[in-house]
Amino acid sequence: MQRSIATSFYNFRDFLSAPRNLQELIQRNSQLEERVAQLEAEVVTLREQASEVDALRALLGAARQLPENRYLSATVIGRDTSPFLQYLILDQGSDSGVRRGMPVVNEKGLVGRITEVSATASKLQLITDPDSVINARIQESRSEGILVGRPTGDLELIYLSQDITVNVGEIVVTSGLGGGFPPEILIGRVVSVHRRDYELYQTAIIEPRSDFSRLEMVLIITNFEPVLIDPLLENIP
Amino acid sequence: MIWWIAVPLLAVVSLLQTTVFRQILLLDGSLDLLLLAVLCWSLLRPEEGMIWAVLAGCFSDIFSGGPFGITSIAYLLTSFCISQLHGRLRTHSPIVVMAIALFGTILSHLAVIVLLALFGRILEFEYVLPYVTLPTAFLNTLCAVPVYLLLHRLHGIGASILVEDKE
Repeated sequence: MQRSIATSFYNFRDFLSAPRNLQELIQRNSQLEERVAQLEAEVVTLREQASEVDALRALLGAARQLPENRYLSATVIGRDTSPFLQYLILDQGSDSGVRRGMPVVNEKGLVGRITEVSATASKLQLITDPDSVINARIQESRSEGILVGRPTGDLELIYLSQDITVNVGEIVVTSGLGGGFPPEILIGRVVSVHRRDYELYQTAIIEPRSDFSRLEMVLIITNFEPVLIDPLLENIP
Repeated sequence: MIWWIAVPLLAVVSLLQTTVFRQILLLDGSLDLLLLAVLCWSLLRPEEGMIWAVLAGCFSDIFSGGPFGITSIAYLLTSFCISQLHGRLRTHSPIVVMAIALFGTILSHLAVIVLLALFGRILEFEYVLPYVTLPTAFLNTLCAVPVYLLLHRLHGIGASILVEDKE
């Protein structure tokens, strides 16, 4: 009986004091909601920073593999407005020492080269652009060919000698011929080979290691001077 | 009216195009908001459509690695064709706007493909049509009516300001 009286009293007391507590609760609730929103914003920022650190760590690992090069990290800030062309816009320009022709890599290998530079930004032509031409070699057989971009996002290694055997899965790297890119930069692997006996050359389809649709950060090799061989070609009759 | 609306609007749209819309892909196509703006304005004010086409093309080419002027020519051609339809279209119903977006996109892409080929960049038509042009046309058709309504409102505001200025 004592318990039931006490319970009734407590309920009555709570009922009387409820309006005041309600005000407090509403105030406390709004404070907590504010705090939750603040913490959520912090979580988003920290996640963003964590993914940036991961990307930078991966790029640093790639940079350590070729320590003779000097690198400048750049963030992708835009893509080509035309769906037919494969260019990216980077946030580093001539103010940071970026020059036309500089090769661009990431942790997975070759990405492309700088084609246009302004003071604070530059345009990067991806190796998958239909206008991109790179001298490349198959690492195992040392056979050389010319790597051209395809609109499908694949790469085609053309002018491969018929005398060599190209196997699916073999690694393709830059050859350094022509002076446009440093040698031995990883590009991708062979996914199919087209060889016909009546043709002069065989071709191979190369899958690039990088997923260019998700590129966020890249490294520009700033100490590589591309060799301009065009003046030499002008003298050829 | 052309300049004070067109230049800032197309500048912002081209920034959105290069930073946002080109990242959202359907197969290899993406929404072409610049082209949609040109097509819708060509419907609203055919006499200004071609100026919008040149401006939009220039803004697009700034952010593109292709030869400068290609997009302007493609947009100009498309806008010209749309402006020819102006007298023949009695209403700008949603169906008409969507049809214009669909055929305008295909026409614009065909023009770009031909122009790129003239500059030595041959594209594989059997890849480009199903993977780039048709998805882009689909997305443009889907977004044509909201873009048209937005520009129609802007056109109304611009016209009323001009009337006030004259008074």
